[in-house]
Amino acid sequence: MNDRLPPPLTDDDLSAHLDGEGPPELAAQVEADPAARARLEQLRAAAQSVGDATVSPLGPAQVDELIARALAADPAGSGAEAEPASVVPLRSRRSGPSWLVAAVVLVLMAAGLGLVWSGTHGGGSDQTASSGGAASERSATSADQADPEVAADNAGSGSSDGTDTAASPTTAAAGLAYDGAPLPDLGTFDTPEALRSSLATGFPDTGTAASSSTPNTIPQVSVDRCAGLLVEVLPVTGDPTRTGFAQVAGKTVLVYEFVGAPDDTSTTTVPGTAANTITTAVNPEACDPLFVFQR
Amino acid sequence: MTTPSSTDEQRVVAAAQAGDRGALERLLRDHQPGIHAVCRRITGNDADALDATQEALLAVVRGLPRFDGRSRFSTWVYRVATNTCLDELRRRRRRPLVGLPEHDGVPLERPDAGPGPAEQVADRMEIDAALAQLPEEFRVAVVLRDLCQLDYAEIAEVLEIPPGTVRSRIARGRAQLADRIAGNQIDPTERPTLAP
Repeated sequence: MNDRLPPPLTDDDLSAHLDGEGPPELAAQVEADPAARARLEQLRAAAQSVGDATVSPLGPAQVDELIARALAADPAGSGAEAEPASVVPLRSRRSGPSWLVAAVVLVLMAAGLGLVWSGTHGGGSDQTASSGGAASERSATSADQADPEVAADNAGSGSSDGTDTAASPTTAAAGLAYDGAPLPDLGTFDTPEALRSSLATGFPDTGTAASSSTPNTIPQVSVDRCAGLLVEVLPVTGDPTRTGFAQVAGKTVLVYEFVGAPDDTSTTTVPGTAANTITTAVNPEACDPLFVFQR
Repeated sequence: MTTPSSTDEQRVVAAAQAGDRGALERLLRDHQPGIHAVCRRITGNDADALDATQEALLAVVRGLPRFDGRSRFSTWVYRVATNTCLDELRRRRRRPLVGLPEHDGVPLERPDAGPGPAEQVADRMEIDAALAQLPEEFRVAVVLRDLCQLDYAEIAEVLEIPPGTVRSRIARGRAQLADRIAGNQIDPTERPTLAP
């Protein structure tokens, strides 16, 4: 007799029945079992609650931004309009302020130590524009280097002194009394997107820091400071390989190119193209990025 | 996820794979709401969902040349989105996963009386909180089934697990959801199940 009794229905059975994925005979069993019917309704309510709980859609501007960044990563893009670059998602936007604050504190501490050291040893040194390692140079910042950094932070209202840079986009730092880093001028752009587009296929061959013929008055210490910060927060292998500056909407920005570190943390089953170059443009005052993307 | 007809979508996919950026943009725009919805439910909060959505869209663009059409495009997109969300969760494992409000500033209290937008938000938050308490593997299976309306075979393909495991995870996830929503803190292990 007991052999003819069906086993009690489980949540697995009922859930599969709810989805139409159970065996046909299950329906009769459910109908004949009031407890099973009651449980089925509970499971149905749970399933409906997930399906009915709408997710608020993103705003049009957010969607446009997401789509634009994704399109920028299109490896099949062709012609001059294509941007064979993948944008590094700015997932650090929420954490950005914290690392910036921490980094700025470190820089200020280094600058303070430099002042103390300078006062103790009684010697300032002439600033020399160096293209060496950015991070290491931050810790060796001297008082003379710290001053133009502060000056750069306050720059922006100064007008060009017109000494020898009549056509160069150096307005923001033109009022500085110090010579700037020898950076290539990457041009003048109306928007960050325009600058990004110009960098999409490669860093312009207008020269490197060593070969630039365009004077620039952004202090080397600012160039190194931002490079050091970016090395800390971007997935890169070391100091920037290319550096330049550009005018964007009337403001001078620094542009860096780094060798990207291989991403060995992602387990996404659809890996992206092997990106090995990271390009970013930052405001020299706060080193906050206008954009970051990979090629 | 609202998708165009299968044939139409196949044409758009083919065009996008051939380098038509307009077609690619259309695909991204068509599937972005679904990707975001999945990411929102799996990650449990707006910020991570936004990041995961961005990552997923990038992964779709990068992986599109390798889409071979053996599955529905939407199924493949869900696979990409789900894996991206799981990556996101793994990266942020140290952060406690809790149900968060859909929007900043939304009051957490359920209104005393009367249905309306506020109560709908409260219901949504209740679901968020209940989903957030589910084990990750149950949550993903339930979301793919009850939000994305994928069948068991498609979910098995997305998660690369046997259909029997899909059935079990959905059942156990729903059972825990039902108990939590009903306020019954019954240990789900006490309920009979055939789960492996």
